[in-house]
Amino acid sequence: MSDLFDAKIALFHKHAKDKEEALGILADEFMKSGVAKDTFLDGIITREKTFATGLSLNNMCVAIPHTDPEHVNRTQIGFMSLEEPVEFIEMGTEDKQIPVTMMFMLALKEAHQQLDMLMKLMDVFQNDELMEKFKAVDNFEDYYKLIEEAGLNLEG
Amino acid sequence: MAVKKILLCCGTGVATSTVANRKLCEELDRRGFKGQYTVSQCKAVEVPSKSPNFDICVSTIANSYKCECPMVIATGLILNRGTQEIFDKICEILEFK
Repeated sequence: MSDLFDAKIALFHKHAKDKEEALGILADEFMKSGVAKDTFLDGIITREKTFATGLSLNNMCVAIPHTDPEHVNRTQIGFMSLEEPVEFIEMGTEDKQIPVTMMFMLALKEAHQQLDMLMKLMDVFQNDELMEKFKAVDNFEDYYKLIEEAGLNLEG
Repeated sequence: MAVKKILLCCGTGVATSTVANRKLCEELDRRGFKGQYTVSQCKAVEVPSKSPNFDICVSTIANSYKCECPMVIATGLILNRGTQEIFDKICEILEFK
């Protein structure tokens, strides 16, 4: 398995009342598994407040929460789908709220790394069929098959 | 002609500006401006101190920091939306014709 996913951080069809709770649930998995430091959640929340990471795609909205490398032990990508959407601010705007149903949380250990993965991830976001599959998936095995189908299973 | 200096910024300087950097360089090179520009990536908080030394700041986020050079918001580069308009605007500011 690609070392970008080997901590197996993927949660499916979760419930959260708002983005803070959703970010907390997912960031907690990063901190528990040791891929991120215990300051990771604070870093994620601060970044989201100052510079939002919501992205409005063709048929749905996603978020790519991430923060400074100082909060990260090793590079990893985590995923969480939400049963009901939570409001995020759209990246590039000051205050435009968008209903996010999936988060791809990025723990990046160094700047300018992972370019190929990030470019691929942005391509995946523009692939409506694949995004519907990510929305529907409900177990890690099938999730990782999608990662492979998307070509995201690169080495870190 | 002097080499133009592009400052590329995002919130943390690690993710979206990296993607935008690749796409911007590919397009500028495709338009025949290879070697006529350099790109530096930074965090948004560094824009006030760094921007006086640059010809343009390209930002993937809404950036409310004080910027001492012309700024283009280029979130569209990430998801390939309105990219030609963004590139046209950048070329106009850099006087790349």
